[in-house]
Amino acid sequence: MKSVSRNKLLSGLMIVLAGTAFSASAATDAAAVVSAAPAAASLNTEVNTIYQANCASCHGADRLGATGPALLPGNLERLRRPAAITTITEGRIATQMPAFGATLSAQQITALADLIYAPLAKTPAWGMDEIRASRI
Amino acid sequence: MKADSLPNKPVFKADPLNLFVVVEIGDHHATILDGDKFEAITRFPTRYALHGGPKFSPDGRYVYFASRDGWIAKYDIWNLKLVAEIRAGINTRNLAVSSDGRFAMVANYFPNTLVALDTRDLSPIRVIDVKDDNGKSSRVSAVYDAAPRNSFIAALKDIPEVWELSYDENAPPVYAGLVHDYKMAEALAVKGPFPPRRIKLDDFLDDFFFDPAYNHVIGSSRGGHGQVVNLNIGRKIADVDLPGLPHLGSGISWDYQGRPVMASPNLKDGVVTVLDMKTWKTIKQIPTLGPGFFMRSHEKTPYAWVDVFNDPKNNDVIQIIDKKTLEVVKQLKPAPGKIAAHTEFTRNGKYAVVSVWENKGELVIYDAKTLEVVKRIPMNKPSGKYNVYNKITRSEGTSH
Repeated sequence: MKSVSRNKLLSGLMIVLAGTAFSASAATDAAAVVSAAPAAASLNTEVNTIYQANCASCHGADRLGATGPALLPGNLERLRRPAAITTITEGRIATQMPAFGATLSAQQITALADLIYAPLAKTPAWGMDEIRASRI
Repeated sequence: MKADSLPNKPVFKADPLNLFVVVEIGDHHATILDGDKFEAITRFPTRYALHGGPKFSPDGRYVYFASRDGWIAKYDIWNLKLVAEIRAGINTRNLAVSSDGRFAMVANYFPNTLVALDTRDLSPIRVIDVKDDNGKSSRVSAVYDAAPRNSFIAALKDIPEVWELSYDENAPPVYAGLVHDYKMAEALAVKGPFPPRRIKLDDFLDDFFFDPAYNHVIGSSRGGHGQVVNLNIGRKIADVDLPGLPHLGSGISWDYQGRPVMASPNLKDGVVTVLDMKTWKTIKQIPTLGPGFFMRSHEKTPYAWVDVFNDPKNNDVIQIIDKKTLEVVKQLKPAPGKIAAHTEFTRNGKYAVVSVWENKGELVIYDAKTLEVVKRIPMNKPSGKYNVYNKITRSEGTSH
């Protein structure tokens, strides 16, 4: 009985959340068109959009890395945050990491740095199937 | 690419056993260096941020790299070609290659797994979840090949256990509990391949090194003291006077006045601890300029070389210790004001190669007898360098 009501509550919450996410991303698109400053609430969605547009092709849509390194807190232990901001802004010499200082604002770059030092919402699986599929 | 389709001899003239693989972490490259002429044979890009030492196949033909992001690469040195790659984890510490050359074992921080690979093509054989009896999961600090035991030894970060994983088909079965137990809870043999034999410790084992016979692992415990664990009986047999954590694989051994000794710097205090390997008593604490990472030597050289990596004021110094007198006899400054680290010797022990650990760094080659510089080779933040012969023969002067 208890679990049923909890499930109902959860699914209700998820609908609300999905609605928020949808409207937030719609708002971001609209904001981009009229180039208005995004509201703080939509910053999260915005940074994800920026990540997917600028970073995902090399670092993976899930930040697990691809041709570029993984961008996860555990993998970034050796890279301090200010150095990460410099790398995003100026690029990294002799690698394929480009500079984003001209295309992204300082605020957007800081938001990206915040994103990559935050743990993933969902723990990724890396078992036999994923390992086998990765072989080159 | 099929590894065995490539020619079975080197495409270059240099002695294939006196090559160095030099890891340049500044721009994520590796150089294959001729250890006689001290000239680069090739330089190639690696995966981002290599981690832990590269490991060789027993014949020295292949070298295996691990990157922090979990990529394992197999490189054919004789043909100067990358053969295969696989991603064995998301966040990896290091890899080990079995002494028979058939298997690689990968130690992961994330997920909490050990991954066994077939070295022929790096295809995965088994993924082992690392957890204790209560299901508590642990990161794997590092894994090493214990050649005389035909097994891998893995140190765990979050549970006080050391695991031994045999790759010997004739090894006796491993039981997780008592076989004849009055509590009627008899253990069944642990499933293989690589059935973990779990050695339960009183205290966590962080960084460590092995004695040459791989009967003992000498490491730090969280309590701040050093401990010696006998791998055969599976428990601590002695406390040792290591003032701080040793770096992984920091120690070396030699014969001192007719008895085998081990020595290591540590990451906290400026001393090198020399231990009697029979009694585990301290023979001497040799004062140094500061805490260091690695001690290195060679069977054919009278000196042991130690860095001062962990002291910002003195980290440009390499100290030379006489293995007979246990005294510091000389201090070298390969490049004043720049970090000096990671000494390794040529196959014959005649030359020592030191890294100047800067983006515009270099390798500095010393005559190991006269301690004079014989050559400088510019490199991009060179870190570890690995001599094929010294590694595959498990020289007492380096780690493996």
